[in-house]
Amino acid sequence: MTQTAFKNRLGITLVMTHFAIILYTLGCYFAHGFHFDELTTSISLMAPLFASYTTVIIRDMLQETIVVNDRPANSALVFITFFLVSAFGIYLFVLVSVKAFNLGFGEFDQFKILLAISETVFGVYIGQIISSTYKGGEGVQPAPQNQEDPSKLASPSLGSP
Amino acid sequence: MRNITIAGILVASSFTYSSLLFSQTDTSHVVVERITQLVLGDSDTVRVNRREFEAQLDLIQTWTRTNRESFEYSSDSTGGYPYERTAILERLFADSSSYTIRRSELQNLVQRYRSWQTLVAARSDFYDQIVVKTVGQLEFEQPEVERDLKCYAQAFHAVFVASAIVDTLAIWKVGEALKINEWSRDMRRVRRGSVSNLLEQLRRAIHGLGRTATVACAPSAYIQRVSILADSALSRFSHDYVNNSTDPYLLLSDSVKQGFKEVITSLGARSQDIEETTEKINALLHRVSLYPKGLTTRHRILSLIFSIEPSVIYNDEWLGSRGSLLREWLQSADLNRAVELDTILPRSNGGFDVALVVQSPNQKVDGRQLLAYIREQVSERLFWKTVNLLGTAPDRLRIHLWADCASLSLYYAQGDIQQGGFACMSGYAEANIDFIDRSLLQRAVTQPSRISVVSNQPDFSQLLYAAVIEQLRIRGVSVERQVQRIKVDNNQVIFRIENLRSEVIRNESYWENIQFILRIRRSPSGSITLACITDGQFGTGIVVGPLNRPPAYHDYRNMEPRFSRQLQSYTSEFLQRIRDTLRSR
Repeated sequence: MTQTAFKNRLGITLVMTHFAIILYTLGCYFAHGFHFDELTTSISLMAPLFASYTTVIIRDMLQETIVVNDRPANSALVFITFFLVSAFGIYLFVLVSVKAFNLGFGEFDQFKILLAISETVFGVYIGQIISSTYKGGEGVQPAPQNQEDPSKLASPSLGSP
Repeated sequence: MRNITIAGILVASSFTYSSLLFSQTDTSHVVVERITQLVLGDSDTVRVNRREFEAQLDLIQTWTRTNRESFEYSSDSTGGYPYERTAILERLFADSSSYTIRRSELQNLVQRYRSWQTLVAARSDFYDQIVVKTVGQLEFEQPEVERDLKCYAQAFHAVFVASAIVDTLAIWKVGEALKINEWSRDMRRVRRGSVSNLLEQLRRAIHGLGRTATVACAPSAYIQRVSILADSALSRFSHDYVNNSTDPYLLLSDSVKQGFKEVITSLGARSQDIEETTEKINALLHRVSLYPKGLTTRHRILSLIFSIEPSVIYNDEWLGSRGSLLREWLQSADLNRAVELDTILPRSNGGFDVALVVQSPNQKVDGRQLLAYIREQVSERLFWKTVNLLGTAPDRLRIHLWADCASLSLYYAQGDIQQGGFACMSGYAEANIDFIDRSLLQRAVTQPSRISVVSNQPDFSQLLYAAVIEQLRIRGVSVERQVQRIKVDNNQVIFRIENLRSEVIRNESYWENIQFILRIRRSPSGSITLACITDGQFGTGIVVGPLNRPPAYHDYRNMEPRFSRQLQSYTSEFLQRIRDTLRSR
């Protein structure tokens, strides 16, 4: 997997995971797994981390960049990154399920505290990955202003002198 | 059993120490200042002779005795008191008859002298009331323990004897039921005595420390707070009398010093055990209370020791949540937010004293008018609502409303009136006027949510409960698992249904708990009037296949006022079904 592919897949995975968790929490609310105030509290704990990741990822994707010398990504980094993201997603899913199905928490405050701690702890880990991957990492360079289009070099237009 | 007994002893000793040491702080600075003023006047130093100073020491003792409220102090029974007195006199005067003393030095001496007296008195009280009488019932299996006990008692009674008892109990095997019962009775007596003597002092100490003023007599909260205070007191004790004291009679040897430190460490560690044990007991008793038939002899003894009624939950957090619900209800009731909950004080018999403060919304309405309005409009609803929320028997609840200098007490006066039921007592200032408010009963009978059934059955309450059970079975309720019978007597049937789904709030899938109070009133003509009062809670939780666990107890919310209409509708339907069932019989 190249670095560009790794970055794209990581971004999509992060956004989709967090979005899915928020949708799942909403679903649990509609199935009477949460009171309304519990729903808003839960989402307000999840949303800031989600918003910060999404902002960085989308901003990076919107930048017009040309990748030169797209080297293969470090396999260990790929593994640990996807492992962390997957583990975080599964963890949040289990946490919300445990509360919604009354499987483990004595009261909502316990769930809230655990969710806040989890978001903080995982936020540190994933924040490191996000900042290193989406902030001017190697192999990702802005397109040079004065460089000609490589396709033009390969197939010059007819009629040119 | 053994752990619980140890905990009881430690708590009893903690009562004595903590309250006495804290009670000293209430008035000590006053006494110190007055003694200093008497001896020194306005100057910083003065030359005192020995005889005059001895007279001042006697004065300190007199004041100490006066300021101690619930404590009999006798210098004759406290062997340590003359030692400290001699030590002070020898240190100051040695062989001379006079000494020039500074203000700070005198204040320090007086302070230490008072502390010593308090401590010695505490030791005497503890030794006389607890140790001698309870140790006598034990059979020592190892003679060295008894020897150590005597040795420790001579050296430093209170702490070391407590330690010796702990050691003794560690080897004491649980004997016959008779011994256990005797022990339990003694522990209860000691505990009751400690509570009644020291509760007020403890309240002041806690108030002085800025803690919450609602000191519950409930064992859980009480023991937890006392253990905190005991830790604090023992820390002070250790610092003042082990590290700083040079009294040769106190620190007999290095081994005693070391032993004392070990006891302090041990007590500190055990205070955590007390909390954990108490939590376990409360949890156990709560669980047992749901299944009264499962109450074993061991559980009964445990409940006797701590004077806990198995059907009552003593838990600070639980009490707080109940108080919040009552506050919510008071705000939702039509009272213009004039009534505020002040305190809920558990009583030793499992009942509660609830204090409410009525605040006048403007200057034109005085307290008596407000209380009269409350008595007429909401007193009955308020009373039964509180009964429901606290889960106590009606005859164990007293509600006191205060407004300016007027007061109103609500209580259940069974037998005071023919119909049995609700009664009011009102008062103004100190001139109480007792009366039974029959108009409330009259109006209650005519309200639409009540039905009349003509019956000649002598045991109508049992018949009624059987009809209820039959109805619940028809509705698919598992009576064995979900229905908790609280009280069935001639005048009322109280029961609780737990873990229902969509029974009251039908268009939503919530978990529900409902408590019913069916009040039976008999008229001279033979007709019986039923009044049904329900209180419901709901909680969230998704049910899919085998995943059908109800929420935890604390996670339920009151149905009112959000689902008041559904609750009222359900109550009416329930009464109708009960009436039909009774008629069919």
